[in-house]
Amino acid sequence: MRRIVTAMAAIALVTTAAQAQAQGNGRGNDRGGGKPAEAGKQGGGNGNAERGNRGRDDAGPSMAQSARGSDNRGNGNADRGNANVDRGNGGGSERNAARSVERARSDDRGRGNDNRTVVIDRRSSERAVVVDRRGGPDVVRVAGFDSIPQRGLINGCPPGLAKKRNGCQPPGQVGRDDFRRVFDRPDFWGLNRLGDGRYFYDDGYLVRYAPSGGILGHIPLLGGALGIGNAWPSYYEPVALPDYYESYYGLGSYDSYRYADDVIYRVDPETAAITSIAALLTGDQFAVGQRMPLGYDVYNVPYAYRDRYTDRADANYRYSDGYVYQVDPTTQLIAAAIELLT
Amino acid sequence: MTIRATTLAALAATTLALAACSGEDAPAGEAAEVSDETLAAMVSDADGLSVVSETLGDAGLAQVFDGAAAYTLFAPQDAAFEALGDFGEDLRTDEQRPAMVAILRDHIVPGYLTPEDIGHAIEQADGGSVKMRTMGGHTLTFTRDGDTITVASEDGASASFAGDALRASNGVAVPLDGLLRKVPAATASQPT
Repeated sequence: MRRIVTAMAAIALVTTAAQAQAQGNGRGNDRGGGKPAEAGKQGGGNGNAERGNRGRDDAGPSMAQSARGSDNRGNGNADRGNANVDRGNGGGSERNAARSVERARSDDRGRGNDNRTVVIDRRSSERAVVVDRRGGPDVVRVAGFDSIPQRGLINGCPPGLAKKRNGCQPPGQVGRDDFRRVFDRPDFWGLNRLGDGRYFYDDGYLVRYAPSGGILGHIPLLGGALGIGNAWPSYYEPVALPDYYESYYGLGSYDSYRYADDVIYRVDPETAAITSIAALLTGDQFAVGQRMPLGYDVYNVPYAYRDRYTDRADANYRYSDGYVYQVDPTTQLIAAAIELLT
Repeated sequence: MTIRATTLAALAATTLALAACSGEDAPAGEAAEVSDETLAAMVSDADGLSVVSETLGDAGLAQVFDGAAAYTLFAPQDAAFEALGDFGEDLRTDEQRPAMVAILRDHIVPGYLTPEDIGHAIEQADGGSVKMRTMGGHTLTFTRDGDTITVASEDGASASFAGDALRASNGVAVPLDGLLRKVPAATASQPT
């Protein structure tokens, strides 16, 4: 199940607010209009990100997903640095593609309980800088994918398959059995969230059939319908990623990339044709003050940062999705999130 | 790029000074030479990794390994695909590219992991195994038997490190002697 609405704009606003807090003066309105989330960013930062409509999310295997992008943005309903963009009552239970980096109280560093830290490391400088954020709320999310929805199945027959299948009928038992056994499962595609059902991999899509035989929905696959040269599907509206991700992954302007299911694609701004894959993401969630997700047992800090972040007796460092996390080796609690800017 | 005026905290000095120290728990792996080339370039030039390299190029994934973000690719050698027979051949077709990409996503983990890092972590771990997340949403488990490091996927497929790792500026490629996904050739004797 996915959450549909929540607030990209809110998160963006929170991001900006948090950054502005660090900056003193903030960056101001540096993007202009045209990008809903960015428009939100430029607002006064008042609002509440907690109230998204998540209710209509995941209405089942054939839920329509086309509207989610725009739902998520725009209202700028972000709170005043409260950053409590936690997703209220959505009721979604699955792993969110969304991941967040929360910079929270900086525990026991001798500053009391009201400190928050963000570490921004620029290789061009001799040392990283710790941004100390005093005051304010208990938790500050300064970057995140929290409100970016997981893509569910799109209603109906995939483009092109209707002709191929003479009205989009199930293909029956065609193709090699060995392929079918391996590929006709959401798990193969990392799409466990789609749930049980009767699936069929065909022509760049994973298609789900109803027990009665009709097609319930489909999802485009990386390398297939979401392959190089193909137009970005219109039902997947653009989403604005946090500024840090745009910088770190070199994404360029808002209209030059797209995001779906833990993959960032580069697209031609004019035609929306996919030109390359910009980044693969784990989809894991990270939060300062909370436990490190499982599956980070090995030191994996990028080479260029190894001289700065080396495991030691009282701190481990682990990298994921653009951040290095300082982790308490005993408790596995995340103590800091480190941005890697060049 | 964002410009942030910052407040330097005492924490910075503490954190960074300690970070600069090479504690006794520091993993090995820094001694080997690291290339100035990107991971995409090194994989492209590597012997015995042409299937992976072609797939990365055809699928637009090569650019992922040309950027600033660090990844480690456990790269099945060409012989691993050849061992799959017709299935391996079919995987290389345009029609099956999504499947090949899905398979390779589970051979990619975030960050920069050298074999020495993995071996060190195994040594330090209770139970003699360590886990890493893949970019395909699954988990890999690493173990060591003597000098051989073996990696296993959630579905039971496994392969061993084979040959020298490619240490690029933005990532590592570790050649494998098999695939980390159970596919027909592998399941023939191990029914699911």
